[in-house]
Amino acid sequence: MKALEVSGDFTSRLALLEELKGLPFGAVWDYFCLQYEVPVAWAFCMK
Amino acid sequence: MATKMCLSIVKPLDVAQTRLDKILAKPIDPQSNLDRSKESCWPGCGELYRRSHEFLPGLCCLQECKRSPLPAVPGFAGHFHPLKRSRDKLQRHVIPSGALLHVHAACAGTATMWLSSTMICKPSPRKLCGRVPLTHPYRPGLLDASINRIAAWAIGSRNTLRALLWHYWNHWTK
Repeated sequence: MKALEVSGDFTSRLALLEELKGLPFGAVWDYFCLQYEVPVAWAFCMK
Repeated sequence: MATKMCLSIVKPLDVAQTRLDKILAKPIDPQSNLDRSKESCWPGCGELYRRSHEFLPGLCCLQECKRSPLPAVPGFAGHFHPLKRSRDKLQRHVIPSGALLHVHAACAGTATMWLSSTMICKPSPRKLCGRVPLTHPYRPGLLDASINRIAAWAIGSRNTLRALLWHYWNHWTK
């Protein structure tokens, strides 16, 4: 998170921040995304 | 035929009622279209003067009765907001056909500026949607064009689905 902040990549910071808010429910959400063949948010922030 | 509202005789409401009746006169298949009204009650704003927060729900209920048995006109749409929970708003109305929820997905409706309240984030599992403080301590100001807007829209939309999933899941576990 710090690295993203320092590098000015605020889009990835936002995506990662939202992922952190979902823990531990994020695993269920990730599986839901996989079922529908859409990227999970972490992949989303990795561009 | 214009729907007669005994609620108010204020001129702006008469104009609104006449125009809405004209718009809604032609029936549209609810499978492809749902009408909604957006009520607001912001202190010091025109909505409060016009009392649209009372007028529009009443008009929706009347329209719904007119179109019976078609559940064509939903009644209520409101913002998801950490300080204005939708369930509290919905309890104000008796709308048998359901409701449409108006969700601001990131900056979809704001082309030139960002408002913190238009950002859908997930502040806590107990709240369906909330807002993210875009006014970062290191970058004071309301505008934040440093975030990719398409990405922000996608994140906001996904957050909406994620919040709904969380609530369904939480309901089942109970």
